[in-house]
This record gives sequence, structure tokens and C-alpha cells, in this order.
Amino acid sequence: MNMNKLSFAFFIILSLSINVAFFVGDIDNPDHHSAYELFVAIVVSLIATVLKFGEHSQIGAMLLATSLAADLCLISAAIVWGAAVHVLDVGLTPEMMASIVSLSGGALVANLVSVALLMLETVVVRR
Amino acid sequence: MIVQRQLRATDTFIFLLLRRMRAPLIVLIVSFSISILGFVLIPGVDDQGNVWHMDFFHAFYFTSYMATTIGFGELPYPFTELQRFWTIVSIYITVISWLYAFGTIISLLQDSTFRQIVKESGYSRYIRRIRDPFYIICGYGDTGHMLLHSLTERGYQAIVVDNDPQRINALPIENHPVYIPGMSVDAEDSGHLKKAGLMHPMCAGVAAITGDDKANLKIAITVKLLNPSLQVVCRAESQAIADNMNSFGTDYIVTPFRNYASLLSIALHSPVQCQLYNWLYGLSRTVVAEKIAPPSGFWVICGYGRMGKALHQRFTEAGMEVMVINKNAKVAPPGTVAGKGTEAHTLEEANIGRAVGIIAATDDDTDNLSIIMTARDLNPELYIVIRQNSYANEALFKAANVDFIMQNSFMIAREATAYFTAPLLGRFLSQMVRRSNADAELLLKRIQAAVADGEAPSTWGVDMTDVGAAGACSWLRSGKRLSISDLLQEFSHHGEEARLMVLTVVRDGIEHLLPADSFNFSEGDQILFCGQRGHKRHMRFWLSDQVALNYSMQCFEQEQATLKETSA
Repeated sequence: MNMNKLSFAFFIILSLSINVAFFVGDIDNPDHHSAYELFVAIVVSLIATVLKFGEHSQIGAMLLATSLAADLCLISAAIVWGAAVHVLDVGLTPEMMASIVSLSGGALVANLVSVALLMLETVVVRR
Repeated sequence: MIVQRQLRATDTFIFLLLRRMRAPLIVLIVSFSISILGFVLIPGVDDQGNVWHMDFFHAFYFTSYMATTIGFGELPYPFTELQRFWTIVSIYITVISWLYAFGTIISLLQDSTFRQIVKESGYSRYIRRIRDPFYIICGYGDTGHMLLHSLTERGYQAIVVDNDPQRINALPIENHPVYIPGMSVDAEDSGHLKKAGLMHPMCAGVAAITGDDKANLKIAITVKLLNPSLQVVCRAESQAIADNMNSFGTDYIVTPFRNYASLLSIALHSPVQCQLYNWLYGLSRTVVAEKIAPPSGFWVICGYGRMGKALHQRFTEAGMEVMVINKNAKVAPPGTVAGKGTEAHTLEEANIGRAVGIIAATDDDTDNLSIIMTARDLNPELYIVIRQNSYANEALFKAANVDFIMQNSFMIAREATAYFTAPLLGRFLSQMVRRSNADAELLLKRIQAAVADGEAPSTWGVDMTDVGAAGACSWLRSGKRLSISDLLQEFSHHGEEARLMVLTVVRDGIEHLLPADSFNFSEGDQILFCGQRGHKRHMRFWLSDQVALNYSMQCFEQEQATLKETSA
């Protein structure tokens, strides 16, 4: 067992799970989507990204790219949230909420790709 | 490992940076998120006294300025005691992790391997972008210094490789007219030579001039195997190594001892030839002084090492009577006086009073100087030849005011420069040596006329190909003529004669020595010029620029036409 691989797999899958947790619910209903979940999703996704820094292999580079994409989507969602509440002062209108949740949906796709790549690597490199 | 080797140095640099930043970044993310989460969960009080929860936006804002020690204060409302308590905890965890991240970056920047990578990536980027011909100089001692100086002075780029980092570190503080990348790596490793630009399309040649014959041999083999089209100039002190280099086609081998011995023997026979050699080979901007030729007669040679042997052989061949002084008389020819030559009684024993000249050829500069001082006291009329081993003693040797200084590094540097910049010069001079003294004298006079004020003439080669002379080639291809007199006309100013002459033209392997002015060039000619320094650049431009060449040629035709009209 490789501690590096274990921690990376853990963070990748955790980031997918929390992403799903945030994503599930009516797309424009603020009550169905918790800010805490988004926060944890961002933190976990960032850690997963950093864990893949400086990886030489092709699959490592792909994993870094997908988790960077996920980070970008989640951070955009957080920025939209902050802007809606504090900058534009419109509050969490259904339009805003829909935008935030769909951005996290984008991150979800990236996370799914990450997990798929992880599976692929596990299957290819049988040790 | 193979994948890693193929990576460019810049990529390696970024990978290393990212890999080392993993731990500090994770610590930073975790400490920030703990702090933010704490501020969101802990209840505060707003300005009306109501319970108020910080949201993520404010928590992130507050943590950002707290962790970076900017500290704007308690915003948006004054904190409760519990919030202040959490602030204390947060300050310690976030500030420490922030410092940890910074510390890692800074220690990484100071890491020697890391700095090496940064330097190398800088060099390889620079070398990749070179668009002019450049030379790789392996070995940066006295010889390397001189060669680099004379190449950069002639407008060439060079890259220096030496395994002594101190020599390379000195490169930036020596004032070179252009940036000289220096790599402190072992040139014997082919990978390092490749990094220095061995396979670069603009690489024109390699000079293997380290102090170690074996290393030079290895470099020559490497270059000839990896990029056979490159010119390789090698330094070889021993004959066996020189023969070995010759066997696989090293372009030019400099054996400084033998070169000096043959130069002195040429000087004995024909001072004019020696003068010609000195002039054409001279590193430019040195004023050529008239030197008295070495006299024939009885010579004393001090020191019977490689140089002493070469000199002894040449001098006996030239019919001189030679007496050798050597520490170990057994290894030297019969009749040798045992001793150093620094003491008066040894010199007297060698009959210094009867000698016409003395050669101090030991490998110790102090001994050599001491020998000539003593010898001069005993016989003030002596012609003095001295061997200088280290460039650091330059001032002493200048002050000694001798007739002929033999300095290996100087010989190597000037031979290598001449070979790189005017490859035909060696052939030309060996042809001239076979000619009579009168011919040489005539040539010397012509050269004297061609350059101003006793400045050493500059020699350079031009190939009539699309690379070096595209304009002239297309002119010749269109069926028109280009003769030496056209060339001279272009370089003459206000009726004055051009300070330029053609020494030799090689066409299809046949040499045309000192061609007449009516000689017509044709495509593929290799030409050796001699003249004023400034003309070299002008000529390169003129021969490669079609418009400039066409314009001047039309002007010459018109001038000739008007001349004919007026005379008619």
C-alpha cells in the first residue's frame, strides 16, 4: 500500500462525494444547497490538486488538469455566491442559485473524469 | 529516467518547485480552512447588539489579512471575547503556515542544485536562440581566455565549458563585448557538450584546448562522432595523442612545442617568411614590430623536455651547433651539461661566451627568467629566446625585454583563431614557405601597403556560396562577371587604393596563389582576404546583399563608360 496513492484517492473521491452533496437538490432553491458543503468541497478539491503537483507521468498530469478544472468551477461558484449576496445585493435569487449550482455541476463532471482516470490507473498499473 | 532526461531544464525546474511546495501548500490550505470555518461557526454581535454570524465572505476576508499579518482590525463589527480567542488561535496556525510556505520557497531558491537547474535552463534558452555562427571552447585557462577574446573581438559568439566552477564564475566579471554563457561541467561528457550546443545548426566549431591531452582526445572523438561536419581544433602536447587525433580526422591539431620549433627554424632560414607568418597569424590590434632575425651559429638550449627536444631536433636539422643544459644529463643528447642553467658556472661550462643565442625552455618561469638574466650578464650580445608558461607572469616577461617569447597558450589561441576565421591561411603559408625569399618580401611589401600604420593586418575567409555570399552568387549565376578589381573598386575611397588584397583562391581543390586583379570569381570559390579590419564586415554585407552589389556594379560600368568617352 502506498500512502501517497491512498491519500490522493481519498481526496479525489471525497471531493466528488461532497460535490454531489452540494449539487443534489432543486437547482434554484437556496435551501437545498448549503454554503458549508461548498466550502468543504473547495478545500478538499484544492488539497487534491496540490497532491498532484510536480507529477511527471502522463496520467498524473491529466489528474492535475482535471482537478484544476474542478477548482476553477467551484471557486467561480463561490465568487458568484459572494457577489450575489455582498456586491450586487440581490441576494440568493433563483437565477443566482441556478448559476452557482450549475457551476458546481461543471466541477462534478471534472471530478467524475478524475475518478475515472484514477480507476484507469489502478487497472493499468497492477502491482 | 529516460523520460526525465528528455525533459527540458525549464520543465524540470517547475516540477521541482511544485513538488517541494506540496507540503507547505497543504498546510496553508488546511490552516486557512480551519480558521475560516471557526469564524463562520462562532457567533458574534452586530452594532445593534443582535447575534450575528460571520459568513464565508467576511471570514475569508478577515483570515486573509490576518494570516498575511496585514491586520486591518476587527471588521465589520467589533469582536466578542470568544471571537478574539479564536483569532489568537488562528493567528498562530495561519501565520506559522504562511511563514513555512515562504521559507520553503526561499530555501528552494538558495538550493545549489536548484540554482544549477535555473542557470542551465537560462543557458539552453540562450543557446537555442543563437542565430549567428558560434564556437564551443572547452577549457578556460590562459589559452581559453585568449581564444575567447580573439573570437569575440572578431564578432563571433562563443560558449565556454570548463569543469572548474571558479573559472566559469569569473566569466561575467571579465568585460566581454557580448554575453558569454559559461557552463561549469565536464566537457568529456557528450551530454554536456550537447547542452552546450553541439547539435545546434549554427555551431561552427569546437576548440578542445583543456590542459589535459586525454580530455581533448575524448572531446574530439565525441564531436567527430556526433556532428562530423563541425570543425574541431585540438590541443595536443604529446605526439602520440596528436597522431591519435589525426587518425579519426580531427580538422586541426595544435602541438605548440613543435609549432614554435618550426617557427624558429623558419626564422633561422628566412626571417622574411617568419615575419610574414607573424603578420598574418597575429592576433589583430597588436602592433607588429620589426624583429631582428635569430643569428646562425652556436646555440645553448636550457631544459630538455618536450619543447627542448623539439627545438634541439629542428636546430640540428638547420645545421646549427647546439649545446644542451639539462638537470639530468643522461636523458639528453651526449655532451650535455648537467645543471639547471640558472648558475653562472653551468652556463660557462656550456661555453656561453661563444654562443650567439640562448633558449630558456624549462617548464618553470622563474628558472627561465633567472637563466636569461645570468646569461645576459655573461654575454650581453646573446639573442634570447624564452619560454613563458603562465600568462600571470606577463609583466615580468615584458620587462625582461627578450627577442622571442614562446608562450604555448598564445600559440594555441592564435592558431585556433586563424583556423576558425580563415581556414585557408595555413595552406597559404605552407605554400609561401616553399617559395623564394624575394617572393615573400614582395608579398610583405604589398601587405604593408594594404594596411595602415603598422597595425597587424586582418585575415579572413569567404566562401562564394549561398550561405556567406548570396548576393554575389545570384549575380554570378545570371551570367555576369565579378573580378578582383571590382571588389577593390568597391573598397577604395576617394581615389585611394583599397586597403585589401586577395591572398589565395581555392577552386575545385586547386589553389590560385596571389591571383591577378583581372581574376574572375566563380560560384563555390573559397577566398582568403587580407586587409584592414573594418573591411571584413563591409565585405560580408556587400557580398550577401544583392541590391548593394548590383548598384555598385552598375556604377562601375557607368564610370568606365564615361572614362572611355572622355578619352575618345
